[in-house]
Amino acid sequence: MANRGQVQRPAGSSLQGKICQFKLVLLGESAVGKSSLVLRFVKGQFYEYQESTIGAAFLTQTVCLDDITVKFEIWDTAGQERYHSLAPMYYRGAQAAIVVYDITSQDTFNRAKSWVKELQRQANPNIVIALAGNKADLADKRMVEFEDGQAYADENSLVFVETSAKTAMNVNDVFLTIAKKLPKSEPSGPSGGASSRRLDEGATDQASTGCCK
Amino acid sequence: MAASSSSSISSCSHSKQPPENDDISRLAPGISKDSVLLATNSFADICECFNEQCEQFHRVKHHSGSISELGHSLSREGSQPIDGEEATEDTDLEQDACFVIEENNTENHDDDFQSASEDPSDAMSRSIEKLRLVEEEQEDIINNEEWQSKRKHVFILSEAGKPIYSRYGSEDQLVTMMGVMQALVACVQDARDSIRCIVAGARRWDLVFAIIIADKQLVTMVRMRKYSLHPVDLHLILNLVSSSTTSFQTGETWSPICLPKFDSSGYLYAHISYLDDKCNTCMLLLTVNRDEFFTLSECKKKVLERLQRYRCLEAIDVAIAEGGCRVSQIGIADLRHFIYKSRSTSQFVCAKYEAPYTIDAQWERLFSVYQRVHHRIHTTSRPLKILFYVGVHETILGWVTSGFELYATFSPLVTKPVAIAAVEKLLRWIKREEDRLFILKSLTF
Repeated sequence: MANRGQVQRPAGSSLQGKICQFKLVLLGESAVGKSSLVLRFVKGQFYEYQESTIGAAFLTQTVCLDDITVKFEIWDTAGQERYHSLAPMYYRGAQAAIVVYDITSQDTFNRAKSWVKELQRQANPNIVIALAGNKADLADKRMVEFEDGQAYADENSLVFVETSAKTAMNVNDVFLTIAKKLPKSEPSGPSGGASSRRLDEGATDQASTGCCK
Repeated sequence: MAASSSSSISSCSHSKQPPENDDISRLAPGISKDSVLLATNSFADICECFNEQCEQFHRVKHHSGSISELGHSLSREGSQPIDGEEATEDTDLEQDACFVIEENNTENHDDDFQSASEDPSDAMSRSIEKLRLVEEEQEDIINNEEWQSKRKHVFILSEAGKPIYSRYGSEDQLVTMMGVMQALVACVQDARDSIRCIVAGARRWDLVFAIIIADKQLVTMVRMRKYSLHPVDLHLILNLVSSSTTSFQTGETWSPICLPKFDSSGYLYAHISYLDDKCNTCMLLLTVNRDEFFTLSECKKKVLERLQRYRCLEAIDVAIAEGGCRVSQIGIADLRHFIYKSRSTSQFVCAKYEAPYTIDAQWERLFSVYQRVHHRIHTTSRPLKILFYVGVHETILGWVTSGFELYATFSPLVTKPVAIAAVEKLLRWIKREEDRLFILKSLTF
């Protein structure tokens, strides 16, 4: 069940390497597979019937990039429109975002574009955005061409990838690609994500400010 | 008891003697002045509440609800310097356990003694749980209104945490609290720093309710002293948790939630997480502040640590597996099943379904008989206090007093005196077991 691809669990290596902590948010229309992508990435699991997310779920996952340990703090948001007004609360201060659409639905692609616009307008200006066309396993029902996704991503300087949470195709890759693109030399804390934490991360923040000790 | 009540019991008739006058009904097992939940009179009230809510939904209401009230206090505190003195002057905070630790230890002449240590609220958060425990243990003194009403407390303790002097109250009663204070001091000293002041109140303002739920039942709740949870709101929470089978199980959830009885005009923010891998026990931490996710996430870790240390989660698992009380264990002949509601605590106890109600269809039928009896008792035109209902399959005795509401099921051939004697016995049993069956003490902060 667990297809962990290239994700390497840190297994103690974090002690010697550098640790970077990044806030990542998933956005997109309801039922495009945001939670499934996260669940695949974090737990290596997939459920055919994934319940609707309520509010937002917070999960963490750590990946190793050469000698750097990247810890993702992932906000998996609810896609239903009634939760839209909450989105800024989750993407505020995020260093990365994955905007997800379903390749079998043109509507979800349009919605993804409006999420990208909203992020460009309101999120952290240096945010790394990835566009993920999910459900790539359903190629026979495809409504959004790969080239359309790629073209839109190129225009807006987004990472683009087609994924399948079900088969695990490209799931780890999209997170790893983001991890590679994120600036490792800048402090990861002050841009907002960590600054909203007041008491819990005292020690960790100090450790991770400047990202690499 | 038997004499007065039996004469008044008859099928569908008023009892002339208010049963409150007799000994058994005065037992009113499960009674509590200090309930975790607001008291409601009956299920009908709850229905009414829902209707009310629907109406309110259509009416545009502008009122200052609990949330804005809390938000106001929050912002007011936010503008205050974090300083022990200030906090003790703030009368709004006096209900919370505000204290100032005067570090008079002469051995402690480190240079950093005077320097502001790490954010004092850090240390405080670490100890919130400890304090809560302390409150449980020392309810008498710490929850004593007179003690609380003192605007400024001075405590002197030894380096080992032994109480030496307290301005109010006996030092002996404060042993545990001073122990915690010493722990706080030691905690910070470990980091080669020292405490100058701790603001207890401010940190705690944010959390309104902390609720632990297992198997669709409330396990425990800690609440802000000023605010109680209405059963209607608890129903919403229970439904939210029980109706989603996986969405809360993957990680920690952060979601706005409207509890209409608490405040229909705004949202609380809920940190929702399961405490065990089997996802039996769920905890909700409700705050008015939408930015407190990480505070509450940390809070959850601490609560979990404690629960694990005292093996509470295992105890909850065992309790769920046992699944409530069995009539056969009570040892009352003829009694097949019962539902007992303590009105002052808005809590009920319902026996497990045992023979002859072993298949769903049978207990569904029994439940519909309960509904019928309940409906007849609460008919607004002619409400009853006692109803002896004889059916083809069973006989049900329904009894409503100001303290409780009881429905007991017997075999169809049971006589009134036998049923009454059995109910007496049952009430005594519930009284004996009330600490186990009900949550009688309300934990507040």
